[in-house]
Amino acid sequence: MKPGDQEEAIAQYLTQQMTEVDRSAFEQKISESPQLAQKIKFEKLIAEGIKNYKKGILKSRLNQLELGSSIGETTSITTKIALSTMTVLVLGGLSYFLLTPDETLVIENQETIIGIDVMTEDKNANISLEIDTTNEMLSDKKEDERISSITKDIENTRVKVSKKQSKKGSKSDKEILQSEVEVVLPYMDGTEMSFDEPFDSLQDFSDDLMKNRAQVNSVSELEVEIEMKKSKKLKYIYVGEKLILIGDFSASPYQIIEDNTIAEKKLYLYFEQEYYALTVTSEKKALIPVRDIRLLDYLVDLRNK
Amino acid sequence: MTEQQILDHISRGDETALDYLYKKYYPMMTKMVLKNNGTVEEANDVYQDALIVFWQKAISGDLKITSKISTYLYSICKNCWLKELNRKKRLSYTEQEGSIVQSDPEDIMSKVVKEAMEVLGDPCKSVLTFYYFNEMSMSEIADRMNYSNADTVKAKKYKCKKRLDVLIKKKYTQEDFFN
Repeated sequence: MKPGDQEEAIAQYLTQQMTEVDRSAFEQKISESPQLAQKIKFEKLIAEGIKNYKKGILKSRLNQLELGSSIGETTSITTKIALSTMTVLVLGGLSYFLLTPDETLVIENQETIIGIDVMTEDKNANISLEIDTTNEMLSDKKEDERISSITKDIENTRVKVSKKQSKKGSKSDKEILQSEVEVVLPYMDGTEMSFDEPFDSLQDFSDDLMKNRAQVNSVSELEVEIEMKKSKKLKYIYVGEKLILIGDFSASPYQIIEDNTIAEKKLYLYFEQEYYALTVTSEKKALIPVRDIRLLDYLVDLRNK
Repeated sequence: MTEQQILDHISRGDETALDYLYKKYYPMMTKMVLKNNGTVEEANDVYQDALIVFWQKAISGDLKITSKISTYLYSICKNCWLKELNRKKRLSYTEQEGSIVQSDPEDIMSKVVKEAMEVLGDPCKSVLTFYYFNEMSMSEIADRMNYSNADTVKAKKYKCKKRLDVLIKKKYTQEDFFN
């Protein structure tokens, strides 16, 4: 057997590419030759080294992945559209209630923009309104900065409303308004969901915005209290806008996650790698970790944002 | 993506299927390790190892799956974690006994091969990993890498392996490992 043939035979033997007959014959040779047995051992180490090299590449690929976005991949288009619609409604409603004359949003700011361009002159009759609430903070109230923090964000959520006056003419002319709504969901899987369609319910909202020069009032209402107990059992009371966490929360920081992307506001607690759903209760209630994989996926995503 | 679609993607070597699986079952698999006294790093490591075992089996055609992917993956994960626990136990016993822990020849060789593979570059890296890791046949590699036929790949693989051997033997010889 030529040296090249022997090496090829070893490679085939190590990668299980030999037929049963060839394999038996080759094993017979190995048992008769200690040099061949040692060579195979050495070649096996090299083959394992090559496998480990590829494993290393795959592992570093996995380490670079952003976790928590799988919900986007498992959600159907219909669900995404439903979520988009719900987000628009919730944001529309929220913004409507939060707009007060006390605070005026900065116009033409990259972070928070409400651009109002009302052109009622003869030359140009375009009305455009753009709201970008990318980093609109709903709350940053902190009761005790050492042990608790509450952050309520609406992140990566942008609502763009534009109105176009299609008829050029005098001020008294009837305005034909067309509303366009573009919703960009929180980043899920790299693809942005957007759609343009007439959306009447936002017309009043945008009219109101123009009249009032778009004012937002952000109020944090949730108050968190810790009742320290050395017991391992974690409990809570959540009533009104007050949340009391009972147990030993001193070991590591916790986070309160408020999900405003659904019709009904939901509150979750993240503590020591577990997520807990918080429901309104005036009685002490045990914190039970969330086990639903889809919900966990979603919460990981929400928290990462 | 259905389970069959995932397996089809894997058999084509589409690594995005690996990403998809990793993200999809991350909470479920890592939780098992965390619940059994593992750290986050160990949970990540074990899950990644398990997923790569699954990937390798699926890509080389060795996978005979009769259950859901998640069930199968979970059992690999569990085995990997048990192995790791046993390794840790052995290590702690050795430390208690005061024995000198000798470096594993496989670990030493893996480091040497890694350096050598980086020096080799492509296409040798791809030919060798397709052959040894994916356990692809010469004709499969020819299709994948657009070589004219299996014989061309065979010649290429032979040359690449020779170059790899030269690079390895600059640092270690067979005798270093076995004498």
